[in-house]
Amino acid sequence: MKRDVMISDELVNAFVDHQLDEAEKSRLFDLVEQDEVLNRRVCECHRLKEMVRHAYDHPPAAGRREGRKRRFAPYLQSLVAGLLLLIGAGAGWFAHGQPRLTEHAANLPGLLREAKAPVVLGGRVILHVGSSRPAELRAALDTTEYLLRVSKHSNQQLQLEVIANGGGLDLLRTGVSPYARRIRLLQRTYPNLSFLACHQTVTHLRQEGVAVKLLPGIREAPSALAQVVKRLQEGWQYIQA
Amino acid sequence: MTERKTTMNLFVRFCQSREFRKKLEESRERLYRTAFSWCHDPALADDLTQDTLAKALKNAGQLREMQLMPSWLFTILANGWRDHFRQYRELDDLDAVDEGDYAVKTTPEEMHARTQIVTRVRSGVARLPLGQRQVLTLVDLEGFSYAEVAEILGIPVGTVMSRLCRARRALKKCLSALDPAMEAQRPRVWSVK
Repeated sequence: MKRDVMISDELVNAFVDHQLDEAEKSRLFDLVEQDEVLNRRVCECHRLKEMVRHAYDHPPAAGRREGRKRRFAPYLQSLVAGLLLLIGAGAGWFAHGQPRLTEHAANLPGLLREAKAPVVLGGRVILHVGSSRPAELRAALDTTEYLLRVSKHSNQQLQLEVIANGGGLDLLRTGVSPYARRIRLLQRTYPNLSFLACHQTVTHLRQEGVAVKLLPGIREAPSALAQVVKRLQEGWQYIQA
Repeated sequence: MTERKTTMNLFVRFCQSREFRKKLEESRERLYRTAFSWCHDPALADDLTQDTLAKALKNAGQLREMQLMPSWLFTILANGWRDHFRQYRELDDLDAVDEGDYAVKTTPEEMHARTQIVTRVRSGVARLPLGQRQVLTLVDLEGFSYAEVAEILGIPVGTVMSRLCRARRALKKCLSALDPAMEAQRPRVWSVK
């Protein structure tokens, strides 16, 4: 039921931050259950809180003030520079024989190129697709393929989950997705890749009379938002296509 | 009998001192994280943390109960940050900071702000006015209650609530502005859900 009960942002914050007494908390729980708009505001507030926590989970290592920095002797600097040059030349020599990225993967969205892909070569990554725009759907698959390919070549363990909701669900729908074949190919090639569809979006579309059939091997998550928050709490990296 | 009592007192003081030092060391990471979220400068955050720990050691006698240690430490940190800010910004009235005049307008992370959630959020937090930034991080990162935050920063609880409210609104807006694609798709996602 869509309603918009007049609940102030301060009260929503206090509810999310566990600052209300039992009676007030119970009242809010009842309202949240009945009011879709309020429910969304509470979710948004939770999400923001989680994002802030996540952003400072791993602050950069403590540095030193400029004035206290010890400097290397000039001959040591030259030595280090020489060593780095040798390492760079060696790496270039050995790397030039590595397979090149495919056209798709080379067409990597600005997202990763600019972010220098700091941690996504290994570890656990959740990639969120929420738009049906063709460029974003393609970008999502390009990023997926790039990450998997590079991780494989660099022997990095990567677990990748692609979750789609809203318009992004088009990516995973039979008869709608322009990339069904590519997705099937990716699924076969990379067992460490999984595609998830938002159950809420699927249900909503079906309620509107839209026939939704997902591509083979696509699992459903109860809610895309909940899945992203869950993964963030478990220490996964989040990327938005 | 008196000698026994004195020995007992010494023993209790010794144990408290050990517990104090242990808890102090354990707090280092939390203090550093919060200091970093205020200044976004690892070197300065480290300095503030060190100063806080040194002051805490020096004034250990002021701590009445061990349970109050977290809020006591963060009060020292907030005072240290206030001193630093006054020293380097030549501010006489810290309230002016809360109006956003001294919010960080650009950060080195801004270049990547569109791309990664961590940098986006940090960039958004760095843009908040100082007073809002402190309240937001003390509540969200350290889990302090509104009353504790009010005590740490020396402001009324009502101010804590209003600053937190403004901070979250601004952060939400800022995150959307930094990622127009996310904003553009939001109505679609909401309408589908």
